[in-house]
Amino acid sequence: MNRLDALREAARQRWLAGLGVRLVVVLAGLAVLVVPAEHDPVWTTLTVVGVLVAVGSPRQGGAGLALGGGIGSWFAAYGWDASPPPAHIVAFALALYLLHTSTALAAAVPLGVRLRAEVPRRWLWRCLVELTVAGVLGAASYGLVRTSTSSALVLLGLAGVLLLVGVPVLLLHRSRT
Amino acid sequence: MTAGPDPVPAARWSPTVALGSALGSTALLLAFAVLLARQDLLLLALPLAVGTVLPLLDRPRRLPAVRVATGAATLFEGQSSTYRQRLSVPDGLDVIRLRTRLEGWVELPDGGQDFCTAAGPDTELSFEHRLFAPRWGRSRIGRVGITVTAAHGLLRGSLTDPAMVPVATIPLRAGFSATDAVPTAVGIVGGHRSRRIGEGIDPAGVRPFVAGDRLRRIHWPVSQRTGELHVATTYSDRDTEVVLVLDSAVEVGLSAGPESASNLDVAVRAAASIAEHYLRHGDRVAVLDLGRAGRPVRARTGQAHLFRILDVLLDVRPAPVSELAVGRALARINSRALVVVLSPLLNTAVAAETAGLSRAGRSVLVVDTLPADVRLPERGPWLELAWRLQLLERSNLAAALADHGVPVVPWLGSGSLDQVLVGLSRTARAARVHR
Repeated sequence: MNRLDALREAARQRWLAGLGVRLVVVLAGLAVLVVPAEHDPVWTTLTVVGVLVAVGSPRQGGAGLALGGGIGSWFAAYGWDASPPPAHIVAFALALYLLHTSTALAAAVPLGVRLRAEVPRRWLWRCLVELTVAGVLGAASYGLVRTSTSSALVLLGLAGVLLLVGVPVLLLHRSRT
Repeated sequence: MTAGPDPVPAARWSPTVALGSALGSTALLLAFAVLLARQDLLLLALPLAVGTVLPLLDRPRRLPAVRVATGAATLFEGQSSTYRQRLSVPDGLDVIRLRTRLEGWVELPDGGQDFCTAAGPDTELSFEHRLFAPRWGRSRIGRVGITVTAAHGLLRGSLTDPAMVPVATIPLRAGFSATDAVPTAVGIVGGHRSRRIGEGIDPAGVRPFVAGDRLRRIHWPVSQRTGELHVATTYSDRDTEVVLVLDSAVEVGLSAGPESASNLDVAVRAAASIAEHYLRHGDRVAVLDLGRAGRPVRARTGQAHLFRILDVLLDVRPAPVSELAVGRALARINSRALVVVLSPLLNTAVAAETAGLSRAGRSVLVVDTLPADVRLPERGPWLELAWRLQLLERSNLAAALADHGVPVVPWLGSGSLDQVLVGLSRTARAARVHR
């Protein structure tokens, strides 16, 4: 293999890593679009635009727009008081999570940069841990709600909001001081 | 050679857009889950919420530190060495991007200039990359920019390690050799045959014995045949002084390693080869870069002097040549030295001074350093025509120099100066008319 071929091979490997991560973003965006039973043109457009921005420039707010569009599509598909099938819920939750985390990885790995194997390995391991914890919590909440009233759900949701907003604010405040 | 930072700097983390979008989406889903009493929205929010809270609880506090080193501080052209990065990671990081700055003529062909890795807490990582030096010159490598992404893409931090490691790439010396004939040998010991009879090894002839001759010089076969004592005579050994004059007024051609050379590349490589050859034979070599005519390398001998010359050659750059300074510098050259002018013959002033040296009785030869196929930059439709005119003028200059008795030879590596040196020696031996 001469020097030119070696350079071409190196360039191909570099681009493959970045493109692979962005391909996951596209697939997750497609899943967000496909899983809801019905499609509203406005939310679909917002989601598509968000995914395109997330793929083209992951450090912009494309993922946020796509997540918002996906949530809007969910409401448009199932209404305000419906109960979607569990398979759809699980698939859509996975799609939203995958879109979020793959865009975060794409933002950290610019195109044309060589990616060592440790990066996707560590990233996937963390995804696995988070999804396992989320699965356990989801199963627990599913059982809790089935055996109790809607007031439990209200309390659970409020606690979740407080936890979600409070923990990052507290942690970031501590790390700055 | 090694360079690197000292203590681990304090971390300065900033939230990424991913943190904002995850927080916003999760809060939206949870708020609607509460307001509408919808369990599906709670389940949708769970992975995002867990994916936000868990990484932040395990967030890093310190940034990594890097130490860089090269396998060798000095390389030859086309030679490879190693470039090592040792990374100390105190806290676990998901993505560590390392960008190395390369100044000068060094390359990291296997992608070590910009890559991403990951590490767990209290990890020492070591990366070794191939460091390739395609062209002579001074280079530096280092100033590693580290961008880290932690907490599963929710936090970002960066720092730059300012340390740089110098790498010197010395010109390729292509096994140059030349005849030992020199026009004027000046020293009393050395590797060249002089024109005088004396102590040496090259036979000059056989003559009758006279009082004072050494007995061991008696040539017995001739003595026996003639019946009278005869002695063998030899030419004495002498050394010489070689002055290498580099015309660095202009640089023509694309300088990009061994495949593509500019006239300066050819000149520097030729100067290194010629200097090595004559210093190896015990001669004294001086170097005069016309771009820095006020700072010549004086004639010395020995291996240390070769290193000094190579070191000076690393700094050769195109520079305006002052006619006055060139005239002064050339006038100081030893009158018995062999002057080798390495020039592309594109500068009239340098050619005029060279002809002046020859007129003054010096032994001068010009090595044409213009590459055979010059790559010119694309600068308009008139460039080719202008270049052809320049080449015509160059031919005229070469012819004028030949008329002044200055031979012009192209640089072809080993043996390319032999014929000219023999010719110059004959010229120097020829009888001269003294007015």
